[in-house]
Amino acid sequence: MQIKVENLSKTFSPGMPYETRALSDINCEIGSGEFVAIIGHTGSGKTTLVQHIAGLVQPDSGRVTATLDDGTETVISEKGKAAFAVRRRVGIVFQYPEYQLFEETVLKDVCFGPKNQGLDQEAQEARAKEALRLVGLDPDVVGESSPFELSGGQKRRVAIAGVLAVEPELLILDEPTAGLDPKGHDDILDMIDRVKEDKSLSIVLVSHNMDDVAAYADKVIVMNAGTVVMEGTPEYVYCERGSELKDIGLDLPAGPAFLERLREGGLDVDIRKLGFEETAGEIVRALKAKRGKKTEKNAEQQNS
Amino acid sequence: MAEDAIISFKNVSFSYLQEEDGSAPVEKLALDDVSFDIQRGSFVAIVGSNGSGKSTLAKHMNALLLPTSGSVIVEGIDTITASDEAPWELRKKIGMVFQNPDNQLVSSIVEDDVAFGPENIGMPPEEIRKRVDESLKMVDMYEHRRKGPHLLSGGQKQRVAIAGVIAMDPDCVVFDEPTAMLDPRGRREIMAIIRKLHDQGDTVILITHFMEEAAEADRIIVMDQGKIAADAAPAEIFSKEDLGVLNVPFAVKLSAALRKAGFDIPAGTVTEEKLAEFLCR
Ligand SMILES: Nc1ncnc2c1ncn2[C@@H]1O[C@H](COP(=O)(O)OP(=O)(O)OP(=O)(O)O)[C@@H](O)[C@H]1O
Ligand SMILES: Nc1ncnc2c1ncn2[C@@H]1O[C@H](COP(=O)(O)OP(=O)(O)OP(=O)(O)O)[C@@H](O)[C@H]1O
Ligand SMILES: [Mg+2]
Ligand SMILES: [Mg+2]
Repeated sequence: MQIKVENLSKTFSPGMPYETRALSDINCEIGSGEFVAIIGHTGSGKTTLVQHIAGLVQPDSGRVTATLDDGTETVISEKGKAAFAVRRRVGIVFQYPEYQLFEETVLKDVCFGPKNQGLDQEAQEARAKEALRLVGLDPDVVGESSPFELSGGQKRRVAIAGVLAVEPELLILDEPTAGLDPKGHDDILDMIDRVKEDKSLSIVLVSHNMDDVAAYADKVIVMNAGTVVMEGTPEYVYCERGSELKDIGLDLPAGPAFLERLREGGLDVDIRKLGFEETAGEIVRALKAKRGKKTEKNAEQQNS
Repeated sequence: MAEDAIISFKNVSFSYLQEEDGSAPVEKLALDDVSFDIQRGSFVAIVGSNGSGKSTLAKHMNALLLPTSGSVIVEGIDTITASDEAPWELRKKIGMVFQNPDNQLVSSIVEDDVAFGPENIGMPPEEIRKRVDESLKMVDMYEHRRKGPHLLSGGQKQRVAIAGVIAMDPDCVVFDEPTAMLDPRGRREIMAIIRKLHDQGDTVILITHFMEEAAEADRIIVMDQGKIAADAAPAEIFSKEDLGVLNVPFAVKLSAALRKAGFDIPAGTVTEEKLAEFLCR
């Protein structure tokens, strides 16, 4: 599924003292099979934007168009049957989804979506069990537990499984790894990347974790105060326009952030590196150059 | 119990009663014979996988949960006795800050929220005023004292929640994943407050999944399936080859790569600050 967002604007509580212009004139695209990350600090409009993409909120103006892989175009930001049918193919994992668990057992909770799609019980459970395994939970162990008896991170996994079980074509995840342990964090991201490949999904990931964004995204959309201020590959956003990113109060991934710290400390490094290997390589280069200079200086002193 | 221990766990086990669909409730062992002391004034991080028992452990520290067997001693008093006789006394000594800032704020004005705890323990009004102002200043939220919490960012709400806890003048503050829901800026704000509390002599316990945060503590306790799997200084914890479900802080990983390339990085370099300092010499 492909998404086109055009001139989208949204104001909450218009005319009230706390009127908030959450989105102003947003334009962006999500390609079919693309992994798009949305970054921006708290309150910048990320959640509001993805809620529009999922068709959960009506815009004040502008529109969201979905193009299915067979070429049919549907404006999903409008009311109506056609829009509704396409919206069902969009799965969204909400920010803090654990607050939406409500069934008596984990298995029933994950079956909820497939059940709504009209699958029979056997098919529902097969889907639910597959989804639970995908998020690293054993259906035989937790399936019959109440979702309320799980730890925070376990609840998060159940909530993600619930969305995967409906087999969406566009999967939106709003901060899916908050509260997960390091292994769970990596597992979920690898899992997202894998289902993206296996099921040729399009992915929208809202994240505060710049390392994840740098590692997984094909494209990054940067939001600030309700507008899109930058859009491009991780290399472009973090390396070419890193200083602008910092100006709006956002962080760089761990590699370039550390390189910048070294540069401030007086080490002559090029901060435009993204991955761990590149970062380490650049530090090695700079340290060797520094060592070389020192030896030169010593030699000069000895000569004179 | 060691002379200067503020909290002491002695062979603590705890089981939740889980209601399975239809059938009789079953016991779920969440803490399995856990023993350790927390030294007064120390900064201890607790890490471990989801469901390993960290929150359950934390809730034992102020008697939100009581051990099924074994005992928890806080300031020399058994929590079972304390929860019977003076539960507020205990909550006052051991403050708790949780993950979700939205669930912790109860009032519609920031300063009322901070005053909630002190009012509940019957602190005199002048004292409350003073403590509320001091706490809000400590977390740098004093200018926002008249605002409604719904107008604050996640990080700001979390700072208000912390102010509410420190207004009770606790001896120890337990943070259960206080930064999990915050953006990087919010995380930095909270970590700065945690450092400040520790510097001024408070005991701080930090439950976290961020190894960079844990690396700042004096000591790390690793939980695994209700048991303590490791308990040591960060440098030692992160020097192990196989960290299981943990991951290595960036500075540790980078130090290893640089050593491999022939640079002599001092052992025990676990924070980016220390590593940068060394590299820039
Ligand atoms: N239902 C609502 N009513 C009124 N204002 C709202 C509503 N939802 C969001 N807002 C406001 O719109 C703005 C954008 O909020 P949004 O939740 O989209 O931000 P975000 O980028 O997702 O932030 P975070 O990183 O904290 O999740 C904020 O100022 C927020 O307070
Ligand atoms: N209210 C409850 N009723 C029954 N079982 C529970 C309850 N709360 C937690 N458990 C179980 O106890 C174990 C420990 O849970 P706990 O919340 O202490 O883990 P945690 O280490 O804090 O995990 P996380 O990192 O996900 O927050 C888990 O197996 C969980 O399923
Ligand atoms: Mg959001
Ligand atoms: Mg927990």
